[in-house]
Amino acid sequence: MDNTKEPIMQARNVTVDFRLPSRMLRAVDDVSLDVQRGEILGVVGESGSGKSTLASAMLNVVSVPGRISAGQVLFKGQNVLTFSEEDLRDFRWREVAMVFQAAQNSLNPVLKIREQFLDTASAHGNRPKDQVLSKARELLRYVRLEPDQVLDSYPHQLSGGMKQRTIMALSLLLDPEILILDEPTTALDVITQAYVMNIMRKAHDDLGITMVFLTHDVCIMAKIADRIAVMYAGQMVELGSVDDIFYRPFHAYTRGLINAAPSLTDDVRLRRAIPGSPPDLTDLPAGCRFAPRCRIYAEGGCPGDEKGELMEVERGHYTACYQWKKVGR
Amino acid sequence: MPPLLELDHLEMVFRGGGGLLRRGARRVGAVAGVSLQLEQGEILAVVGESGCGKTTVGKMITGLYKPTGGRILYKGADIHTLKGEAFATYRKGVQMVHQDSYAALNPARTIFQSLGDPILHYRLARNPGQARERLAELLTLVGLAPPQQFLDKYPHQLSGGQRQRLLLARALSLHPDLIVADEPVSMVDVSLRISLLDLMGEMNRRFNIAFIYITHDLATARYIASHGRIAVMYPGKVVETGNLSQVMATPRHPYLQALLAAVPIPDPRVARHMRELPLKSLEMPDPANPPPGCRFHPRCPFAETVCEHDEPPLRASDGHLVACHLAERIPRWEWAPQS
Repeated sequence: MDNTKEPIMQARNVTVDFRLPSRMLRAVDDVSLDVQRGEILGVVGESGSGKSTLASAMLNVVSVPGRISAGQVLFKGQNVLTFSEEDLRDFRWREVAMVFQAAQNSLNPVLKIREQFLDTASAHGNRPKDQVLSKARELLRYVRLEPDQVLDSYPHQLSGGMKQRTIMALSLLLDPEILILDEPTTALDVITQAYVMNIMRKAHDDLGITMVFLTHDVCIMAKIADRIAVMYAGQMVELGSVDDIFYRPFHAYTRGLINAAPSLTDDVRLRRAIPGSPPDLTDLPAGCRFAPRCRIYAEGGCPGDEKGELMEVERGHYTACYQWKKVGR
Repeated sequence: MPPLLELDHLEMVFRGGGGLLRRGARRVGAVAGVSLQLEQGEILAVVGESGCGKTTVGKMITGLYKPTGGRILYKGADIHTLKGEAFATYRKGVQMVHQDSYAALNPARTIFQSLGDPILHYRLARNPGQARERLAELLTLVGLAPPQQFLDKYPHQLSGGQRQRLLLARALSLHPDLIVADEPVSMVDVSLRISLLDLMGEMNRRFNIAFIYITHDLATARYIASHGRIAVMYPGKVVETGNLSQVMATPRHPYLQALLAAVPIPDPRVARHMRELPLKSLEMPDPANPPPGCRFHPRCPFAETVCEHDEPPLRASDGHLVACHLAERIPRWEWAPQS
């Protein structure tokens, strides 16, 4: 890991609201996060935690009825949220590329893969066709696909794992500095998942791309991430190095999540579910959002009446839990 | 006494892709000779990747597909020869829990309407009032309390975890001896998975219900079937089967070893030292045109000439069954190479 930590992208107090017919839903609540140049950052959270919405906000692509109602997103010091359409076009894919969830379905079913590479290149500036295609071939080989076969195929002729790797090659076409991947392996079989993660790790090491993985599965981050951010019910509840998160979690939710993950090497009797379920975002508990499921709260170790603010309690290790000393291993 | 369930050289060939203009329909052998047994109250995990035929096996057991070859014996009787009362007993006795709880419940009917019908049909309740009482008990049993809060709701008003519990309640409502659960937790949030698996384990112990847990996820399989058995499938075939803890301790088939190497481990120090995938290629074989000999040989790092020609039978090795010619000669599995 590099020691010259320099944020390349920063979310500052970002809040995203969705206006529903009868009420307001705050999907992301005052979240700040620095993405450091050259790192692999995992953002872990369950459905409804706000991780995908946060990523959309970072690219300024939050869709209606959602709205970024507060905060800033800085890329190399410039606020992405004030970019013009033209600036955004230059920024997206060239500076920051995103692979959305269920990306296999984001390929156009009626165009051959070749056309989709050419379209992408021409939408972000004019480059000679043969140059684009030779870059495409190089990238497809990189993700261990047969370039000529894939370029000549329609998406339906490729398996799920091949489509996912094609999307990854496509996302690297314009040499982005940051790649954001939303649940990149969720629909894939376990062997394909391992393969894709290895390829991503290699792309990171070879090309020096900064990567942000959004996932519900904390397990897949253990091998690849440098740092992990944990989100719960729209808030960031913990941030730290991968070892901090796995070996010394400072938030009861993080600890619960890791204890709830079945593994092949543990003692199955030690696994514990987190009781209850995530809160309804339109009807949140007044104080700590995790309190109704929290062991420390249940045992009377915490009043649970405060919302919690992310604070740095050790160097580089942040938690929103005031009772972090009681979390234990 | 005969076993609760016996699969005897089960085969399923799908035909399709022919059409008007193309001659010769494509034949896809989804299941090619699977034999397995299940005793009363046993838990069997059927593990494999998409396309291996695990779901097809589940659908044949529950009677949704009729096999094109082989037999399924339920308490000793071939389910496709059963008639009248005996068929109804099988239908009640074998229930299914699906992966997608949203698709498995009619969105236009309330929970009471969806779950009440089966018990009224099988006269487990005489009237809607009794059905309501019975369902209230069942919902409490699967942890949906207070039940009155759920009975008149529509599926979209419940969370994924709650709907999955309902599916389990629906399966339990007919007093089955076997529940086939096809990826029941793969669409549920991680923090809730264990509680669902625990619930199934509890139903297994309390009511002696046998479970067939179909999954691509070895970690959850190991969790639920720690005292049960496992069958690992590779397109259409069982390649390794036996006592789960024993198979996990000494996995013999190179495919199972590859699967094990691919499972993410929630421990950074161990995970960083995991070996590279021992596979020659990523792609699964085309089930319409499986490779000759061992179906795994094109991807197998150890394959020899014999593997290209002769199909390996399931045979005993290390106290369980393995379909690999080289089972005794390939390196023993270790979790992580010594660092």
